[in-house]
Amino acid sequence: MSKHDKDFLIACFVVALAIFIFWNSMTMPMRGDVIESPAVFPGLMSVILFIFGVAYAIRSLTRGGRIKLDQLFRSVVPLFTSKKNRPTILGILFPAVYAFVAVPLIGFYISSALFMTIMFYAYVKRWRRWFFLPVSIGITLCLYLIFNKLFMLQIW
Amino acid sequence: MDWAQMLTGLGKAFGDLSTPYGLFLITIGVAVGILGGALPGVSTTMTVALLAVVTYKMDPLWAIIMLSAVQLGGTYGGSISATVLNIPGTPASAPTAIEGYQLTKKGEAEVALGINVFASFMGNNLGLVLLLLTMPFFVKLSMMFGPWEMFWFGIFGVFIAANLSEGDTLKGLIAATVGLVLGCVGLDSIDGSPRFAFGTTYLVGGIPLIPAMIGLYGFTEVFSGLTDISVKSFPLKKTSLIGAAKLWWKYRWLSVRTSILGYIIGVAPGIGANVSCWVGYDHARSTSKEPEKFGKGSIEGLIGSETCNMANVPGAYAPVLSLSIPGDAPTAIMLGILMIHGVRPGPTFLLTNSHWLYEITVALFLGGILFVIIGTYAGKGLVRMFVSTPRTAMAAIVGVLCVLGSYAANININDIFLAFFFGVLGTVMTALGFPVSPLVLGLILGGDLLDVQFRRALMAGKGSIAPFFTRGVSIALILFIIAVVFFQYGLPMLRGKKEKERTVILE
Repeated sequence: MSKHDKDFLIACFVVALAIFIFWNSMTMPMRGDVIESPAVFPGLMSVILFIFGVAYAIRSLTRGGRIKLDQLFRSVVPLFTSKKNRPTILGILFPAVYAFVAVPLIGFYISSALFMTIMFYAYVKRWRRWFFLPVSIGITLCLYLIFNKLFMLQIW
Repeated sequence: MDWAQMLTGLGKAFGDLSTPYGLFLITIGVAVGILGGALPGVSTTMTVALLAVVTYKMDPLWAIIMLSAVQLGGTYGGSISATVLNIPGTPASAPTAIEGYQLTKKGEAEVALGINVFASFMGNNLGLVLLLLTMPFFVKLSMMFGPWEMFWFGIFGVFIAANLSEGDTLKGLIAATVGLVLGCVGLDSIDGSPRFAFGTTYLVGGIPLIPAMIGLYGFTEVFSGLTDISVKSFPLKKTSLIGAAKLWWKYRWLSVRTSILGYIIGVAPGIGANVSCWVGYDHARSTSKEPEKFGKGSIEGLIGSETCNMANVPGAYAPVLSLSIPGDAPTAIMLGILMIHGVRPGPTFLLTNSHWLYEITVALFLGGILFVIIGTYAGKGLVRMFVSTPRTAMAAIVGVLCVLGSYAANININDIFLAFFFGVLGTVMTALGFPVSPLVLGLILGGDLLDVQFRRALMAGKGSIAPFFTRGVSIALILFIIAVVFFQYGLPMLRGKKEKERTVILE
């Protein structure tokens, strides 16, 4: 997919987002005068966003951008499987498991120590001998002392 | 102005604060402030609030002296994590993260930290000079500030957001508009209705700024660096404070201008350092002879944002002491502490308690010297530790700090999910060529500044928009915005046109 095709797709998304914001603003309650309505500012912003989205779409169309559905479907899967994007995908996946699964289940400090231990062992070759464990536990302990003891925040 | 009284007052204040007790309080305040400001999730406001508990049994003046030192340390401390980790320790350090982290990547972390320290020190001192010399004038001006003027200030912020577009203005404007809409999420301040909450209790409180910024700046670095073993550790060129001072001297007039801007913003109640840092950054970019360096490690960008947000601190005390109106969130807490102690600042307060102004001025000055010492050595130690750590390990540690920081802000687990969402959003935006800074500025300006002030102004004017264009201070702000837009866009366009005509004639 060329750059201008991507731009056109993004422009369509921006226009759709503007319409969604406008529609949502119109469902907000209105008490008193129009100017007191909570919908005024978001509604105005949605109109401005719509104008920007259309301008962006026109700009990409004039530069040759088009939506080609078959290319679109063919370019989605490689986004997740290409070697170039793999570090970013894994870089999102591992913290996601840490933040969404481990922290709510076993608490912040234990999951942080585990997360750092696994990441250090897997991706830091020169720490594999013995360094990875004391570093991860040491950092977790420091954070505990600073946040829980010094700043008296209740984090578990 | 009674110079003799001022000099006598300052001399007495120096004597009072140079005692072991005074220096001890200021040192502890600055040190804890720097730590709180540097740690993601623990903002300056939170650090001031946490230490306020310690001051209940103190004399009210000593309590304010200690808390002002905390505020000073915290405002500076945010720049350390912004520069070294790309996580703004406080929202006011976001522009510092943009430029400082780029310098860290090039091996110039110590240069960046030295510039931060110097720019902050000079911003604080210039702000203090302005506080002593011009406080009565600016206090009268701040009394003339109404919702109309706050709205125009928000509009000025939108122009700044557009100027942060890094090349593609349309993409920057789209990002800024989305940021403005995100700033509206939550309970409407005037009407009380939930906006864009989608039935969730969490979003009724609005989008908290700290987790959003941790996600946009911190998590994006984690996602790209966590498993990429091809990325090498950053190099490090060692530099001294004298070297940083020489670099700062080259841009000293920029420091003077941004100090004045930061001070004025500090005096205007309700705006604060979160906006002033961007004003200073934008001013540095607009007046720079090397604007192409911005976003790639610009010293001017660092000086502009750090000086401006530091000059904000003395400015915030002007409305507190003379009008009992807080200039920003930390001074709002200090006002609360004063009330607990039975002290009520106001229009006549300084007539009988002028020594308060001098004591706070000297405390902030001494605090500035201390944060130079503590900040320089703490910052250098941190940099040398981080630079010697492999990049993938750093990314894991930063990931932990991001999760902890977003949770610590409000002790709410949903903030971690929000920060993660913004991290993914920031990664996608960067991949698609959309700048993140306009979105951040839109988030800051959206809810309370532009929207609420616009409607308050309309309600106060009974639906009329005439006061937006007829009030004296509003006219001055409109002319200021026109001048800024002309210098930012109009003048370069005219220069480009003249250059083209010259080229055509020569051909």
